[in-house]
Amino acid sequence: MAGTYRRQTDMPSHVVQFTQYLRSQDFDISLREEFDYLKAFSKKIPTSYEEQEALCKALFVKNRKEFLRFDELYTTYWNRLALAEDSKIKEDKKPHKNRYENPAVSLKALKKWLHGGRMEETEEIASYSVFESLMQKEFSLFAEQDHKDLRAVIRVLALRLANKDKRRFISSKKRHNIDLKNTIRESLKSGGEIKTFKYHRRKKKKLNLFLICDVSKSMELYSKFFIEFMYNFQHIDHNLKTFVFSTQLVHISRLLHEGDFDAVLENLSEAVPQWSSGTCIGKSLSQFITDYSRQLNKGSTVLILSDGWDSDDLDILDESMAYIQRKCLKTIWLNPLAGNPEYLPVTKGMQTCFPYIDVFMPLYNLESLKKLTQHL
Amino acid sequence: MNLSAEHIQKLLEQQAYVSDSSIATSIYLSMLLKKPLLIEGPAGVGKTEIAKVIADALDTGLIRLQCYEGLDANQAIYEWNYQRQLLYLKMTERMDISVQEKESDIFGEEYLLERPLLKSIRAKTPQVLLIDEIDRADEEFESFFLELLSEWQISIPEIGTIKAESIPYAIITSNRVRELSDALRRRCLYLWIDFPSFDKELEIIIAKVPNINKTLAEQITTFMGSVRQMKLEKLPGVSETLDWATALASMHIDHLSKEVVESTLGIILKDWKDIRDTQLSLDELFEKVGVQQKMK
Repeated sequence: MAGTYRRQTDMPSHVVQFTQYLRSQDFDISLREEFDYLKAFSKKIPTSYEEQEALCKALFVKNRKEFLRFDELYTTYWNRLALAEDSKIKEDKKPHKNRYENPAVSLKALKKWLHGGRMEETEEIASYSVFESLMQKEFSLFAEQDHKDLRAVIRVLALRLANKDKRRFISSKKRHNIDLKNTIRESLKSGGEIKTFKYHRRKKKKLNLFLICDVSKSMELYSKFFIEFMYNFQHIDHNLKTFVFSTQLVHISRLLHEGDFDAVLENLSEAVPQWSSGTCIGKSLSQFITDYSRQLNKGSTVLILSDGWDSDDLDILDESMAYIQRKCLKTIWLNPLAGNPEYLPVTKGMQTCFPYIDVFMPLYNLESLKKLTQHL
Repeated sequence: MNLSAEHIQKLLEQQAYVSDSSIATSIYLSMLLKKPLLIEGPAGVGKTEIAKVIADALDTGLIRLQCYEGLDANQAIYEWNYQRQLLYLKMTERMDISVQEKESDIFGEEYLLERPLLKSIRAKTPQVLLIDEIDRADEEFESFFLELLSEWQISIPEIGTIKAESIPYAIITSNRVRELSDALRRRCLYLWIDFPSFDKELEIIIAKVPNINKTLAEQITTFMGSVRQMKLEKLPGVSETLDWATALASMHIDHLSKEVVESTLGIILKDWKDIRDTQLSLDELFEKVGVQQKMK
């Protein structure tokens, strides 16, 4: 950052530059917020450093996650800016790249595999277990035609789910069912004489679905299939909340709306720096509970797509799964390995989760995807 | 009015609302920039209370719109007084008045019923407008707010656009039952209120329950902090802390004991599973908060 941003001569220019920095950190800031800042500045606010920070925080932050990250980013911005000016030698040095700065590397591996090539990394994973490796064949058989079918099935599935009716009625312009109560109420305006009919229809049931997908290294071979599944589902049902995790959880619903599937994959590689790294299911689910438990209720279904390999503390996983089961209508676990008739949930992670799962089923081909409809 | 963040904080303190600089600055900026303040946070941390306190502190009216599923524009913005319109039409049935005249009469100001949003912008002096628990209203309903919150005007087809005579101090609260739209967020300043720190919660208890024993207040605060670390269905908020403190103080209890906690758990926990889990972990909790010796 120090090499990219320059020290400005006035505060508004700095703040404009600061908003660019925040945008690079996934803050959703429009020109309106910058304009509001300038408006406040013209009214002689802020008058102190604390007020300056508070003003930026109130204007540029739009949700809890951003609220909790803001202070650190604000300090980092000013500290690094000071460093950039004082030590030019440091600027000339080759910038230190940590492994998260180029997240596309592991995604490239995934892409290469998807295009027919098999990566060394993949071979390493395959040696985790003999019977797990058998499952890889299912996905390697995927042709372009299968992908088309996949999209079509997901579309039908999502449309069917999106059109489920509730018990409650709402007014409708379509003249199918007369709303007797409101027709009589309306007639009161004309002294009890019915002049117009009112119509109603059943309210559509909104699917309260949370889709959480494991994109750790052990799931690398299935990630594309699942991301495609989430991508198509998300485009039909805008209320769907989608997440991916490996060592930490990332909310990707918005990202799945940006551009075509290839563009989405590129964006995901930037947004999910831990792609194809280790697995911390417990920690990720705990993070999910902390951030989204208010949105969970007895109408919610949580769908977890994972093989259950976990390198994390199993107590956290146990606690988190118990909480999700208590809070939601249904917890569905989709395991790509479970399609193998010889599959046994022997991993410790899977064994820990099992008592809290309402539906456990394989998801490795279109047929299994179709079966999923019955449970939603 | 000559306000500053410090001034707001003092005003809040005078109303026995324990705030911090972040809360006071956000309220101050919201007033100055005439932008609504969107407050999110767990239930019971004092989000709604802020609006009430500001109204009292500024000696102005509080107009509240409590959101719920199915809330529509008729209940939130305006509605025509149908009965009165009908009566007028009956009365003028035999009079020589043209249809156009009748129409302009019945869609006039006299027949307009003001609902909270319209009422807030037609007031002569700025009122505090509290839009409470907006996340409970349908997503479609949020769009009704957009015109009001950015332009401070409301369009009524039969009359035209009504511009605000005074811009209200708008406070919007949400418990994050569902995510609010970006369009709404963009029109607001944002404030997150979390569960208070030990010192702040203790200060709140002492401010709101003046007759409480200080040791008891400290024990209650420590205990509540530990309970909030547990994975419960519904975490107790500050309002539950205050209810509990008030109850124990009125029972003349000066320190916590296992019996007291067990018999009064229903004040702070509202779910039978939470109560059962907490009862099972009471010894552990007492040990954790380090007041075991004093309690037993």
